[in-house]
Amino acid sequence: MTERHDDLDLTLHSLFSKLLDGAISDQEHSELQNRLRNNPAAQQLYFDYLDLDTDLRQMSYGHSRADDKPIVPTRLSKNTMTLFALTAFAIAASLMLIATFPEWLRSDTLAKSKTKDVVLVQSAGGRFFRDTMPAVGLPLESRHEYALIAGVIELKFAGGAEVILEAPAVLEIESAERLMVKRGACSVHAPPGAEGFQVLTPQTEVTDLGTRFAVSVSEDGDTEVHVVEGAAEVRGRDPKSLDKVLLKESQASRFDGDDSSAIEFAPSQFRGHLPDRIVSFRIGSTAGVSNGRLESVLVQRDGRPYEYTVQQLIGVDVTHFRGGSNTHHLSVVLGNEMVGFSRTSTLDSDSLLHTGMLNPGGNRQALTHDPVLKDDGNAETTSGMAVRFRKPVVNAPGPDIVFFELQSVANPADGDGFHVSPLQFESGLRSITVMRYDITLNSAEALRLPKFELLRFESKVSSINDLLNGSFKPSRPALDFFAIATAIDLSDLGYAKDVAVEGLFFQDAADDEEHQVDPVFIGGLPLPKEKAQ
Amino acid sequence: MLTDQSQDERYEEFLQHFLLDQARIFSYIRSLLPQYADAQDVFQRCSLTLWRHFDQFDQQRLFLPWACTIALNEVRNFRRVHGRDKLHLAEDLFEQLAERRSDSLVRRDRRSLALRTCVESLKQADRELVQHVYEDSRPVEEIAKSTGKAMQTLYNRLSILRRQLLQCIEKRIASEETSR
Repeated sequence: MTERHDDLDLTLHSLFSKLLDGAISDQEHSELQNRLRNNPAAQQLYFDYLDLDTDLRQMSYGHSRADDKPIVPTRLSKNTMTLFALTAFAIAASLMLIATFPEWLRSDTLAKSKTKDVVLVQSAGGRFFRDTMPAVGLPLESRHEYALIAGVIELKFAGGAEVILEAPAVLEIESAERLMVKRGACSVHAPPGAEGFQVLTPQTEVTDLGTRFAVSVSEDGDTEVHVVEGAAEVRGRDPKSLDKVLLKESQASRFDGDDSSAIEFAPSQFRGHLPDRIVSFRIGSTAGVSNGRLESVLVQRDGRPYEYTVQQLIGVDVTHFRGGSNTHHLSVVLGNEMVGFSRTSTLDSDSLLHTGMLNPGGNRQALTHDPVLKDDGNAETTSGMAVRFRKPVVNAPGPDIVFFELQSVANPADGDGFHVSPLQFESGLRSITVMRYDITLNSAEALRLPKFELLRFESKVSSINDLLNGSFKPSRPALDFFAIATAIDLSDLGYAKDVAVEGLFFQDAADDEEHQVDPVFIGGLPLPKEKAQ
Repeated sequence: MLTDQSQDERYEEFLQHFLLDQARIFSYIRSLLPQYADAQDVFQRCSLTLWRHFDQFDQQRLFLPWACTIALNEVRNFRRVHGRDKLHLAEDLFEQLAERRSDSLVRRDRRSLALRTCVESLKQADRELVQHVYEDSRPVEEIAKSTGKAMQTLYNRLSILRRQLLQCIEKRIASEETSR
């Protein structure tokens, strides 16, 4: 019996310890899961480790500490009933109070844990100066100054209010019902029950009276308040300086310290939702390990969220490819470089996000005329990549195309810039350039990809034919790669609503020498009515 | 509607069951949610659910299996909401662990008691390290700074101590069994 723990190898012990120390990497966690699977002895050891950790945390070490009573007593008798149990008993005697029990419990026993006054609900490219943007659903710290330097974020306060903030903004959460905005714009929606929510600015205190309103604070602290719905009350922070002002629906006012003046109401000051974008995506796993296969993508189109499975997306065929000096053009599943894999399927027919046609050529200037796709001897074909949708993509309000690339942690965090152009320029059509992806390496939504084989072609690739028949050398990148993504709106290219688009041209933006775009999946979105959440 | 008195009696009955098994219920939850804070969160929610549904508990049956079924639901809910968090267990493994854990919960109390003695028998420096990390919840980084030791050294030491403690627990239980 005593040998039981020694039967299992040291790696397992070390993985358990790392798990408990919070020092386990994703890869190690996958390994741990593989070792636990179908292995009763390892599972028992895992239980023993967790119990050990729990007991060590809850044990008293020989001196009493009134402020840190264990939640779960290890000795069980009436005399050692915990504070938790005794008070729960008293409270439960009155059923009226039972609903407040969890809140009470939390505040008393979890004093050490982070406050949950405010959580991040959504982030569209949100970035703080110095602080890390938490993952969606996780709390922000109270009484800490955050500087939002990019993007738009939505916060939900425990009191019920929802606040959208746009960069640049400087904010501090004061409590579950109070937000300090030192600079920048915010839009507040306080649903019924959340009335009384307050926004403090350097000069004013805006109290919500059941409403939607926008507050913006200029660099010198002047505050504008626009009430879209309901009413809000504004008063000066210095009680002597300003009488309180009641603003009703469609009214707006500017406050500059000593004075308030009615201004023209501008409904556009209020932002009801975050910008359209790819919100998140999911990839599958095999035996608990990410297999890199795109499963679904959540896209906000015209203010509304839609989730598409990969089968619902419109696939593409690559019809033209011309690379530049970097000839690492294909990434394939590990160990597959020698067997007969389909080179074109990396991008077009497969949904694996770690396989694709990488580093298409590019140009600093985006196209203003049709790309040359056929080598007719007159002119060189255009650097870049043309794709044809298997079914035309119809331009609907909001984004219409999703674009994924793989990116290592050593590459630009915002994603590799690229141009998107029409295959045929007609009047009103133009190229667009994407320099910042919706989901960047800084987003908690970027997902880690499996290892892959990178194929470097021995000579320049100037056609699909070269890509299919050229010889290459495989290598295995040591760095970890992530999938990042961005959405493309056909309207931005000048297409009218309801126009069916058959294909597009993609080029690297040649914004830096080293990094070129690495497309791994491109898909068209079906019309919203086909699948609405 | 229950009178105040019968309500009190009912609650006392609940507490008797609950106090006896709460460490095991926590243990069960934690094996499915290894992050301590997550397990605490769900345990608290679960405690309330158990009380709310105590009327449905059949007195002829054991409390622990009933409580574990409810705990498992709470854990599943938690996983649905926090599905993409780091250290999320794969579904198949999760099911295996949920099933296997309920078998070994009964051994829990004896192991906890044995651990107490084992911690007391640690060398002073080791005992202090455990105390800093666990009782004072000090980050290893901070302990490393104040003691002038490398973080990795401390992590290694903790890892060795955990193994040592587990072996000590096994030994004590084995000797209790033979001395019986």
